[in-house]
Amino acid sequence: MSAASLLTRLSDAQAEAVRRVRDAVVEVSRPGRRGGRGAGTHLGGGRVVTCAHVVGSAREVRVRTASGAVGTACVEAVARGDDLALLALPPEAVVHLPALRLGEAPALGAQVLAVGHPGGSVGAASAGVVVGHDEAGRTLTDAHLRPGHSGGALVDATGRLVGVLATLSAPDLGGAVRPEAVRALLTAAGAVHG
Amino acid sequence: MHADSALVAVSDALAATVEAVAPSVVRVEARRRGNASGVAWSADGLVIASDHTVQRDDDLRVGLPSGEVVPAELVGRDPSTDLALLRTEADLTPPTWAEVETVAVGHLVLSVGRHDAHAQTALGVVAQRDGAWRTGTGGRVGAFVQTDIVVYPGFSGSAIVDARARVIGLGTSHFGRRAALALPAATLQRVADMLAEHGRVPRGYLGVTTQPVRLRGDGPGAGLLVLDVSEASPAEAAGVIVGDVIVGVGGETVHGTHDLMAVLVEAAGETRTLEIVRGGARQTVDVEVGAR
Repeated sequence: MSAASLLTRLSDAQAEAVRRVRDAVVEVSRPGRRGGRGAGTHLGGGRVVTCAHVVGSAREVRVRTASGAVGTACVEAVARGDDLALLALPPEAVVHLPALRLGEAPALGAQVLAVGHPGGSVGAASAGVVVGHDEAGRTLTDAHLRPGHSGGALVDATGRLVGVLATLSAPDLGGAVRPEAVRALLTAAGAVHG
Repeated sequence: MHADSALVAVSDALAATVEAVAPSVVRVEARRRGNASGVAWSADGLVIASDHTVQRDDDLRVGLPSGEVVPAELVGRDPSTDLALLRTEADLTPPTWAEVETVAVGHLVLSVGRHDAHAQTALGVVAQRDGAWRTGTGGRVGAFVQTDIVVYPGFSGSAIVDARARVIGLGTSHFGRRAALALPAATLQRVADMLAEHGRVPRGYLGVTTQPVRLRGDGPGAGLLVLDVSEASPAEAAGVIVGDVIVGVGGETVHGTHDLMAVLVEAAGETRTLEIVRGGARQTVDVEVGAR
């Protein structure tokens, strides 16, 4: 393969990966004057993972999918320590909503893509590598995160969800909650609702 | 392909892409602090750059990829799209341009700039794409293309390059904090053509002072009440009088002054049909839109 065509294939693959991620990332807004806004990722079965600081103390939030469908989701479980929340979408909102599979925490230096809604820019993409981990165990990336990315998806090269975008540790250094914490939340919610 | 060799191949391909485009990227010396970048627009010496980096009209210099520094003159500038066209006597190497429609969100892009002797680059992706938009000062840009490229000193005027080493636009940081936008090639073409011909982008005008008003009854609901008509203006020549309410121009509804500016801005020298309400009755008048 020539060098140029390799780069083109890589670029096309990345655009295709972003397209798939964008379809599974929803907008989340909580009602009220001081309502938060952010993103969330559909994990299948109507379950959307987002950040606890996006939903605040709300029991219900508004969700808008990439196709423009709007619905109300109930806040099913919250893990404040991990800054995670799990939403349950109404069945009619889930019919054509693609989901991302949960992956494993990415290795140092691995390529990652971040998709969220920074500054109201819906489904904006950024790419980077895994820079390291912070003391809270979050994955740090140099993908350019901004307010509004919260709750968005950090995916690896296989398109699996490997982090929930949560913090800006420094300019151009974003932190994502690791997939183990998402699994723990899913298990906890499953135990409650099982 | 082995994983190691794939990484080496990607890295080499990125370097080769920069090397392919760098001969088309020049340094623009036109402001007090810090140089910026520009891209060869024609083989006979035209350079396209960011207007906000061209802070003076005279004593301009362009640093060529060969290292030579040549004098340049300002052909024209359009602050509304943040574009400026410079002329040098140098032989330049224009890049291969590509329509911005060929890139999607997530595609790889490189910026290639030259704010000192050497080219510099940064890697990113297309962060967001949308349709045509207007800048805060009324400039029309054919497509919204935001990248996640880090805005380094001299980024403005850099070439935004795709994985095929084609330039999809000119980088600018002018339209928002840290937002590295690419002004698409088609917009550069339109503005550069006007700058080459007129030295500026002619703005259409009617010569009226207006105020937004609400209209009762069925109909447009709102319009612009004409408070004054300038002497010898296009509006006066068309027979527009004080008290008319402009509700449409050229088939576009006009509710506010921003609507009127938007439909006039690129109609200079052309005839447009004004839809007005006069004495409660709707009528139309043709006006030849002025240029200034």
